[in-house]
Amino acid sequence: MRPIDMHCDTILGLIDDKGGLGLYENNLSVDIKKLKRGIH
Amino acid sequence: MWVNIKSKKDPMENCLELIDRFYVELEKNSHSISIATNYEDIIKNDDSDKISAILTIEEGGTIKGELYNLRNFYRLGVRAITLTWNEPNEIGYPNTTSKYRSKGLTKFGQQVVDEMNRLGMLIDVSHLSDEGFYDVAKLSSKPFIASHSNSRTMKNHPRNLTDDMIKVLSESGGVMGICFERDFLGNTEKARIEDMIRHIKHIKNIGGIEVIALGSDFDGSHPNCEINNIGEIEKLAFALSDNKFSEDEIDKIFYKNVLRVIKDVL
Repeated sequence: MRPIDMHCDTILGLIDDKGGLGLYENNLSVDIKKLKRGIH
Repeated sequence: MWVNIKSKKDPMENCLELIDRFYVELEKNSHSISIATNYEDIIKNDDSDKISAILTIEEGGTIKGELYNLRNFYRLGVRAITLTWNEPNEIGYPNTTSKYRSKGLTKFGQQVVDEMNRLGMLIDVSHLSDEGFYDVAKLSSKPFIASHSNSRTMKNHPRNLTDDMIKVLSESGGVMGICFERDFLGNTEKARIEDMIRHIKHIKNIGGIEVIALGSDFDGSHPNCEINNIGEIEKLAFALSDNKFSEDEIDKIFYKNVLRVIKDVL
C-alpha cells in the first residue's frame, strides 16, 4: 500500500511511495508550479 | 483545494474552478491516478497500481453558509473539508489569534457537522479554534481528523494540538497528520526530521500510535525542509526505524491509521 498524505496541497491527497509529488513534477503532466500558492 | 476567502470574491466559484482542474489533470493522467471517494476505491486503485486522489477542501467558507452547497460538493466527489482556514467563516473561527480561541462553532457550523456525518465526509479541525475543536469532538458521531497539526507541548504554536486535544481526538478514533512546517515543529530555519520524531514520540505517549498519520503540507509550508518532497518520505521511515519504531508502527503512521478512518467515515 502507498503512503497516505492527508494534507498535500497539490491535487493529491494520496501519494506514491515511488516518488509521489516528485514523480509528478518529473514525469507527468501535472503542472506543480501552477498549483503552488504560498503558505497555508 | 485551498481557497482564500479574503482574496476571492466568490470562494465557491474559485473552488469549483480548482475542482475542474483536478478532474482535467486526472483525465490527462488516467493511466496512473484515479479519484477515490471511499475505502474500496483506494483498494481498487492500489490493486491496479494507481495512485489515489481524494478531493478535499481547505476552507469551509466555500459552502457560503448553505447546506445544499455542502451536498453539491459531496456530489462532485469532495470527501473532506477543513472547517476554517485562517479567517472566520459561517462555520466557525480560526485559531490564528487569541481572540478567536474561545469561540466555538456557529449554529450553522453545528449543522455542518451533522450533515458531514450523515453524508460520510471527513471533518478536518486543523486551523479551527480550540473551542471549535471541542464542539466538533462533542457533536461528531464519527471520527474526525486534524489533517496537518503537531503537538503544542512540543512546539507552542496555536496550529498545534494540546495534549488534551490529542487524547480527545484519539478517543474519537480520529487521526492527526504530522506536518512538516518548520514553525509547527521547532525553532530552526530548516524543518528537521529529528523534530518530527520528537513530536511523534510525544503524541504516541499521549494518544497512542493509532492517532498518528502524515499531513506534510508540501506546497503549503516553508520549502526549507530536510524532506524536500514527498519522493523523499522514506527518510522519515528510516528515522522512525532508527528510533525503535516497529515496522507495524511505521505502517500505521504511513497509511494504516488513515485507512481505518476512511473506512469508518466515508
